[in-house]
Amino acid sequence: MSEVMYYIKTFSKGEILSALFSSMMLVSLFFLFKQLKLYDKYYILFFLTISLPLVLSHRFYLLEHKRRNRFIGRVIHNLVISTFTVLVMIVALKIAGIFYKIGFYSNLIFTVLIVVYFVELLLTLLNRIFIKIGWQIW
Amino acid sequence: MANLVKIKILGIFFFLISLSVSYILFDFESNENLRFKEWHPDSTLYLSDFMQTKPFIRDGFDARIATHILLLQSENGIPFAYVVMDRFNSCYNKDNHSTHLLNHEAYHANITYIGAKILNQTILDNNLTYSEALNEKDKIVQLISSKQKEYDRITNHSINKPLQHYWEYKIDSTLNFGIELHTIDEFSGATAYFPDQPEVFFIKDTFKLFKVFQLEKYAMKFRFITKYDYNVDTSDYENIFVEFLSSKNFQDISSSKRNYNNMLMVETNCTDTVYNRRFHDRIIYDNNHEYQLTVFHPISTEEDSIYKMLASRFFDSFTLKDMSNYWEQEYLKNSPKKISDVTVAEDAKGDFKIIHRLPYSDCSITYHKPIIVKNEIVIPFRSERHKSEDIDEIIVILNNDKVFSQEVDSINQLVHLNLTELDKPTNKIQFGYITKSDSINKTYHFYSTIIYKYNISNKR
Repeated sequence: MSEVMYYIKTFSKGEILSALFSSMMLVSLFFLFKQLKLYDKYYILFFLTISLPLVLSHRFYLLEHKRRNRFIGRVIHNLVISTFTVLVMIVALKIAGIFYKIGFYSNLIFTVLIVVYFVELLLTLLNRIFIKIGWQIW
Repeated sequence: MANLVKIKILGIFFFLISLSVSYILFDFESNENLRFKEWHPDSTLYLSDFMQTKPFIRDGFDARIATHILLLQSENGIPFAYVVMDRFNSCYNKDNHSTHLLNHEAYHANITYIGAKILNQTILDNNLTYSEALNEKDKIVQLISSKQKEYDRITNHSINKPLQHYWEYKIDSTLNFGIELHTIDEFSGATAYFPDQPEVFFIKDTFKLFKVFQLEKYAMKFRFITKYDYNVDTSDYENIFVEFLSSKNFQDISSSKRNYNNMLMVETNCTDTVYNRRFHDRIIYDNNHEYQLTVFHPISTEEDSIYKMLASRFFDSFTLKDMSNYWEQEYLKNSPKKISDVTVAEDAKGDFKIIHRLPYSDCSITYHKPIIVKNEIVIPFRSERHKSEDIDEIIVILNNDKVFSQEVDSINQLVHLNLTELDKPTNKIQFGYITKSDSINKTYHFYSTIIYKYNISNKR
């Protein structure tokens, strides 16, 4: 069975909940740190704000399925996370009245997809290293 | 598994609370204040007003502006419409922007302002309530929105410059419709149509006093000049003017002389090769003043006819109005200043030294016909070389003989003489002023050369 088919067949409420958890975490941390102006001083926090929710989501997958989510599975899962993130972000920005800072829905979708997949790429490389030294975290 | 589900749900709630904390820290009020900018045709549009981030993927527009008509319930219960620019929904392309583009966007806001003006007029005319005004607003918004589209379509989003300038002219004309602009010279009664308030200033040196109305807009320059007391020999004026233009590197000069409402008119068209623009000029003479109407516009190969049309509209708008009624009212409104005979010793008469002789003047004056109010002849004039606070007294000399003194008025001087004083068939009235500095030095410089001749008995 291909990786894509495996992910789709085993797709359950758990994955939805994981994605929602990750996107809520991402958006709330992003807003909180932005509000506390922490990004101005600690650039690494921005990477952590994106990567931690993704890592946790993949960790949940590992714990629930007793196997790690493979590359294609993670790509699809990140798409679900991105979708939730975009939706939560729209609501959050509109409530705060600062949607103009991103300007357009297309800008938001584009930014979220680029950032999520770029961080995922870095996490994949990091995961390879961890696996090589015998650590299986996600 | 069940534990993981619980952890995720708890996590979601926790992050919701964390998001709420961010909102508590957020300053909603100043953010909302930042959003709207009240718009008026005099408002200036800055690049910083375009706060929305532009689309990352180009959609063909270099700028867009959002404006709204808002309704306010005023204290007296009458609804009032005004225009705001929504900064959060206005954006521009940082890589491709210009003053021309910014101007195009500003005129979008001006179109919305026209809508608000129409709405306010409708509210007043029909005594509308707030809810009725809201319904009316919806209709006007629809109309305005179609005009905005038409504006973008015809000007090709400002790319077609001549049509962009034409629309700016058109929008300004609509905005200023019903508003009294200062475009009339109240002394000569000369006026021309300007779509917007022109700049009004004087060109004055020892030899000339020109009142200028000038509007530089739409890449054009509209200029209308009244030359007081400018009596030149008009017999060869056409050739003199053409020679003058040739010496200034103007090319393709064509000039013609003709009659215009019983006045002499010299019309000249040429190309200014230095500034690469077309020059249209019309000089009109009546018996006392010279009027010059000038239009400069860019040379456009595609839409030259648009600029020519606006130029000819400007020329055709020239009129000479009879200002007698206006000055009559001014005279009656402001209580006439006391006038008294001044006994001047024979040997002192020579102290009234005339500084400037005809044909040049120190004052804006009216000539066309005598203004008679309550058996008094009223002559309005205004000193343009000196401020009224620097003037000591107004002096009138009748028939080189009688000298009258009059108090200084604040802006316009209304010299008045009883008609019984004008006892000769032709009377010569000289009027002007003595400055305070001159009266201290006891050198009675008489700052006017205006000689006013009437045969009152014939004019009455």
